[in-house]
Amino acid sequence: MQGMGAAAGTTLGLHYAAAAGAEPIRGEYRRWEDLMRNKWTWDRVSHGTHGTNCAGTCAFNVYVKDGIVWREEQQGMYAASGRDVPDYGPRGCNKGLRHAKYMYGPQRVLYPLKRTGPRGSGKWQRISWEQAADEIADRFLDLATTHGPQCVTYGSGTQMSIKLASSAALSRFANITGVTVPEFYSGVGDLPTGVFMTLGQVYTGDTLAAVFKARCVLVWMANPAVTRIPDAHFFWEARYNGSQVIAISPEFTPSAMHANLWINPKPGTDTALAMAIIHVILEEELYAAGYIREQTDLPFLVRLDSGEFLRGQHLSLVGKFAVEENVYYIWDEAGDRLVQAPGTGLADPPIGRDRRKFETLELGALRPALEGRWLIDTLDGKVECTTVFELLKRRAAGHSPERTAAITGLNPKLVRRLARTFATAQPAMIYTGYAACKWLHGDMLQRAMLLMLSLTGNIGVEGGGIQFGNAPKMRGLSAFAQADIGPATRMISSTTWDYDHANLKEENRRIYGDELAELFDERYQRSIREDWFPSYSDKGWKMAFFAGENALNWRASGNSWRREAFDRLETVVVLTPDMSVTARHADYVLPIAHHYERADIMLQSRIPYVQVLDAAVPPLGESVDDWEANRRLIAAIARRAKERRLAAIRDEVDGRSVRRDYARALDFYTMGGRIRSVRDVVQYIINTTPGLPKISFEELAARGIVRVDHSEGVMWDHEDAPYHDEIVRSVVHKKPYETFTGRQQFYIDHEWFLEFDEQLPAHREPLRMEGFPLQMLMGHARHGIHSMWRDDTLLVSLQRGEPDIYVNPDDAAARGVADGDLIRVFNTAGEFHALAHLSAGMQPGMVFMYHGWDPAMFRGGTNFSAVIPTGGLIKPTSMAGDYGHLGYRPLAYAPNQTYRDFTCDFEKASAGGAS
Amino acid sequence: MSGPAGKEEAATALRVVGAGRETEATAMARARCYAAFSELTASPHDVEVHAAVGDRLESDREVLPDALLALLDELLATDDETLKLGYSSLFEVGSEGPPASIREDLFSGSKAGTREDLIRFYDFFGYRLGEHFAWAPDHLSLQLEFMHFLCYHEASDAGQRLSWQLGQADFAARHLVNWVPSLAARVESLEPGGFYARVLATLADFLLADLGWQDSTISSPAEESGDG
Repeated sequence: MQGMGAAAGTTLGLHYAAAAGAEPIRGEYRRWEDLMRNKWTWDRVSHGTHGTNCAGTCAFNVYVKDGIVWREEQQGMYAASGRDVPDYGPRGCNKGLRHAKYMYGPQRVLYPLKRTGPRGSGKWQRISWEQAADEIADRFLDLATTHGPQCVTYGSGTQMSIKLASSAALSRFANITGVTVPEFYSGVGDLPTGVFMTLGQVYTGDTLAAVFKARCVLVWMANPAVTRIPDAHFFWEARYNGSQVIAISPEFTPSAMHANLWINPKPGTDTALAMAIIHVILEEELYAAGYIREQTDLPFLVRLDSGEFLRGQHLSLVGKFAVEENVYYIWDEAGDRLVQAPGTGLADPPIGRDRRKFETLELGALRPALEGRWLIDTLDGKVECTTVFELLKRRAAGHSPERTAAITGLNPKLVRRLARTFATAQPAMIYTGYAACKWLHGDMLQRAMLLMLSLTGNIGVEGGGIQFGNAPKMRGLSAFAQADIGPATRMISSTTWDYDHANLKEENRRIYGDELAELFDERYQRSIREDWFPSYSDKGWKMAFFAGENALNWRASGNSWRREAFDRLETVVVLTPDMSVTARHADYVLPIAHHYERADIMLQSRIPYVQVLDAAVPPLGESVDDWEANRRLIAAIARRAKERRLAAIRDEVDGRSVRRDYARALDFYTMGGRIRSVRDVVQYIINTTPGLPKISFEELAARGIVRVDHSEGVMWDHEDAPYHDEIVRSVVHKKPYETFTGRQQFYIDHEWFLEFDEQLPAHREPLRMEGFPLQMLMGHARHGIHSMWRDDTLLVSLQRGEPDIYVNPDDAAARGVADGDLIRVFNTAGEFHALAHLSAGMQPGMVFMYHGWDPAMFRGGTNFSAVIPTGGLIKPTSMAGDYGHLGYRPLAYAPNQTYRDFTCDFEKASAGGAS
Repeated sequence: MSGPAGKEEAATALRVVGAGRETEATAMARARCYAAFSELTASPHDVEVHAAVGDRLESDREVLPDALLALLDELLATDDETLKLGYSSLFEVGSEGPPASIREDLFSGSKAGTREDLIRFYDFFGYRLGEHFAWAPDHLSLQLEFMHFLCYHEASDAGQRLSWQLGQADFAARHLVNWVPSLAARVESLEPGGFYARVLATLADFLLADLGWQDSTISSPAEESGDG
């Protein structure tokens, strides 16, 4: 980027002017007020949105003049999903409407930076892209050729994954280079593993308009008034329409204040509440018997001697030596006989989707018994069997509202009222947030929620279901990542990667004791040994790229992770539009284009539209989009490999031999030059992703949003729609589920589940830290999306000006703390400082903090992650494998990093205690 | 011409420039000074400043003031890498934004209207920025180049001379003089006596003196006659 040359002498030479030169003066100038008389006009209005993981994909018009974005406004041209539901517009929120200002702020990274002082010292040198790319490429090649590329990671965060072309670019980079990709879905504790255990699928959500169809919606561990600002109206409109909107959360949330009813269990006791509701449903026979007979494993027979399902191999030698391990049985009341359950015994579980097309759950004349005991002839002799339903009743009996009242703190009458309201409303829905995944035993909460829904016939129906987000079928993205190469990517859960590299067993020992640390580690290591879950850790962790991820902000066991893993990395490269705590501690920071400076597309299942990001202006400074950044890196890798005459290396990924010829890496990346820019990537994805209208990027950019195919209703129920529809296929079209049992599977007879008594869901007390009485909860913030925009000056001014933490007034008084006091929040893991925000909406015994605050915004420079010691809490059953659908599945089944099972305390900060 | 109709004659007379301006003698010389300061404050990452300053010295050495010449010579004698490192660490990069932003909007805390005001000046006088620089209309070097642009046209466009002259005074008063002295003080506190501290101190002095001189050449007959 050079100017027009020297401007010496009497010639008007200009360094910064447009090549076309100056235009004539616009009129006689008399005084500066005259400037203001000219009408402000726009050079162009482009369409865009904000590529963050709020799942909003709100269409914005972006106004540009003289190469600057001055303002944005909501595009607001959405239709509805049917005549009887409200439409999706307008969309937008306070964050998006600040972006035109924020993108020019001081936090912006404009040039490639190289660290010149110690990490975190703030001493930087601006360097050229070429220098940065070459130095990074050399470092990568040194490591890849001596240790193997798996010791280098490319971590991507929610900002990255949500933009499909950018995500595809990173995936292709990883596939070519062989770097390890620690995925964040489980890493941030968002993976609904309990949903996967039950349904064989984690992507189960509908559009948000489905909320309007629910007659009862439980807003459970969710806060849509804050986290789903463009969609929250569906909840309140449903209420106006006569639906019951019931908020369930320990704290009085901004959503709870709009609900018909607020239920406030003690923190971490939600599974006890769910089981109490199940108890009432069973006790009062409010269940949909026909539905559960057909769709679930509840009528399946279980051996009472071992707790295992009665299977084909138990009954005959033929069955014992058969390939199929998934022949299950029911007791047919119609014929009074033992019958193989329809839809079971498939040859290729659980992936045999094609085979399942020919199978059905339809019962025909069968009437599976839900209750009873039978003596069955087996190879072991006569064995008493019963149904899962019977076992569930027994399990639920221990969780009656009266028995759980002391656990949840809820009046049994209230719980019974809640259960009846939920069970008798048709349809009923549970709208839950990812907090349901952030407890150590969150999987059992999800299984219990699904039981509530299934027992009442509310899974796979309009206005029902568990509403985690759905996700696009990634065929287009995968096709792009693998085109001309094949699958050669190492993707792993951040949770297990961190466990391997951050000495988290010792953190467990220090916080939770020897017994837990040893038990969890023994099962973890056994799972890896058995190859149930992968590990790429044998070469250590030496270099890391972070893109769209602010890892030092959110990691659980933040202190340990920082000390034991991050600080030991030889090279850290951060690709980011904004300076963050992670970037501050990097060796290289590469500038990335912001939302209005790039092309891409976004798909979010909450609305039936594909949303464009168009480049309203060129990227600021020397920033580039992610595709281009990765192209420059891979071009340098190829160039340096050639210059260094490096031979191709032989790599092995998951047992497959892969030849990695880094000298040819650029050719691979660009598909031999066919992919020239991110627009080509977008077009590739449009052309190959099901359900996307096959239009050009230019047309999409001109329109901003375009309706996706097969989106007439509020559900994703079509095979050719862009989002997962497997659950509807099972419920409506009777196709077996992708679970071991082929049903909604509530009973898991894996030996570890039996050992830990988790074959059915049950309440488990959350882990606490002795001497620290306060449970700490967190949630997404109104004034930021994760750490993005959290430092915007206007948004900060709408809060308290610095991080604050909500505390109960009685708890505060007991500690001599007044509203607005600076307090020290602490436990044995660490401490941080924040302003006390006294609120009667907090229960005694808990504190609450909205997340995303950058450590640099805290006095003392440490944020909440210092007190969250849960990074190593990998529960044994979450590492179970060799059991039908259970076993490592990237982005579907992996252990979550959890964030809730700890306690803390606070005190008034001493003067000068945090500077 | 887009000025308001009807009262143009009277309105034009709101401010006049006196004979003491001596445009033929001063405008091009001032243009050269502003151009030289623009090059001194340009990012060596974005502009080939050694080449630019070399050309400047070759053509203008005889007419530039000594203080400015000394700085230009010093820049020319400084190797490119040293210059880049010094410049970017002061003005362009930092974990919490640059220590002393070279951009008015950032330096002054994003006061509402700063960038709009700049764009309105540039648009009115036909100063169009190239695509890669358009995002930073508040950059000091760019503002100085704009002053060079105005002075140059004062010298060469006799038909619109008053406009070019008044534009300079207003632009300097509303922008450059408003923030450059503070920037100079900030840089002096960061790197006392450093090259860029001296550049900015010299520039601040020049700006204040030049604005004072400009003001001395401008009068408001209407106001003086009580008809304002």
